[in-house]
Amino acid sequence: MVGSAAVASIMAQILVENLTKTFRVAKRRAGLWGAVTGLVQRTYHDIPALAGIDFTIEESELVGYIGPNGAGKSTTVKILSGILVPSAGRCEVNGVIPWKNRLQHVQNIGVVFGQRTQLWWDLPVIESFEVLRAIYRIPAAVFQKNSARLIELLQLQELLDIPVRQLSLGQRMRSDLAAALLHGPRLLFLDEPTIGLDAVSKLAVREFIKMLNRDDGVTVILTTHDMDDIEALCRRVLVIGRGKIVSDGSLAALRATVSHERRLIVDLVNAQEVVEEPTARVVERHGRRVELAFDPRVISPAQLISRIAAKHAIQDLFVEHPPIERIIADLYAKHGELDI
Amino acid sequence: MKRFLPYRAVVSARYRMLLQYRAAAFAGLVTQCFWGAIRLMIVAAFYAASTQTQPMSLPEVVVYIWLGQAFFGMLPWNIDEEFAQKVRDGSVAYDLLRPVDLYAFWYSHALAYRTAPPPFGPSLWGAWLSWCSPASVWRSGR
Repeated sequence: MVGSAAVASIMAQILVENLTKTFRVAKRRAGLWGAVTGLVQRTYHDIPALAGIDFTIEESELVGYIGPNGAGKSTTVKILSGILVPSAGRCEVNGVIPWKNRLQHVQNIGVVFGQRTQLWWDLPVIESFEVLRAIYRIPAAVFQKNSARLIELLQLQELLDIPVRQLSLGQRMRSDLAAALLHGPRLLFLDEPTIGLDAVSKLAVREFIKMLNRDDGVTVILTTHDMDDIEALCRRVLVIGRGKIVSDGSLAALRATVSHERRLIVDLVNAQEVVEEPTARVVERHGRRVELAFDPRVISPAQLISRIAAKHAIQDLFVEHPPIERIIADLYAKHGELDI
Repeated sequence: MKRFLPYRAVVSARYRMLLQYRAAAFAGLVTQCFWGAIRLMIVAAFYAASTQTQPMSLPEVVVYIWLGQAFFGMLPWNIDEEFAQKVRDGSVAYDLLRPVDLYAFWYSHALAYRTAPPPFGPSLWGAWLSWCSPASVWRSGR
């Protein structure tokens, strides 16, 4: 092992180098005859899910992992959690190769797949917890402590005796989060944990994730399509597209790589006025509200505001970043990822 | 015994789960009893019509049939739909996330599925049935 790599593997909690995963899929031929000949003779084609990705994640980081559908997010999470075996590359989590030491590895991680549940569908929540206690061989005292805390934080007290099938999606997600953390993992993978949740549940889940990371120092890797999740939670964002990491850094840095553009939204007193400004372009206009896009490197917000204020009577105004959805969509488009 | 802790928990959880559906359990019981009764009546009719001595006495056959009905659920003639479902919808991923031997884990699932209490219902029910009323005729074996 090379010296620097060895050091890196000691330092980082997750180390991923040139990770590649190719799925081999049999080609389907059309029609009944195609299906019959497919039984005898098959042609395969390779679908690259991950085309060599690299990153490291340190202990106690909260990383957002985003990308369009089919970009390879879930594949990465599955490799990192030891479910899938990659085609090539190196990957170590806590110094362990996930798929080689699966039993040892999974003891120390928690995983939540937002689209499915790990609870026993027909059993009351508390009984699922009990089964997990046995499966993870959690000592009674530790289980007592962890479950009491999770039940309190996620407000599960009232749900404990209800069969999982009768829970609402938000209640189920909270229970699922607790289930993933009963054994006190230091690393948590969340695959779309807020999918389909209502606003209140989303906030509750976000608040909990934030607290878990901040107070307990649990490393969290979060994949999501909800940009509000990213905005609210993640200091670092990894963007994947077509199996490659296309951006890795803070949200601000991500914004800067795509565009420096900011928005100035002005409510005019008079709806008939036309706003024309050489350094800014009008993006939208609804009645009295004008939305201008400008580059702060060309003109400072203060300058722009005073220029407009000099020419027009203004009722209200504010400056904002372009919505993160826009940034991500631009980034995907840049990498030829946007399906139109 | 600590080694088996996870697997015991799985078997017990699965039992509780399978016993949740009272209507299904009851329907299973009725079906098993019904089939048992049909088989019994056929055999009884043959025994009544035959003049030769049979290798098994009728009471023995009655016991044999009810045992067969009781253990019918344990025969591996069908598959546990839950596994198929898990593979199809991808929840099998969660099974791989457990720090347990996958084979033993699934084996304990299957074990619970095959031995869940309802199948034993027919044996008790059948034993009682064969004991009362017309069964006394069969018991005599003629």
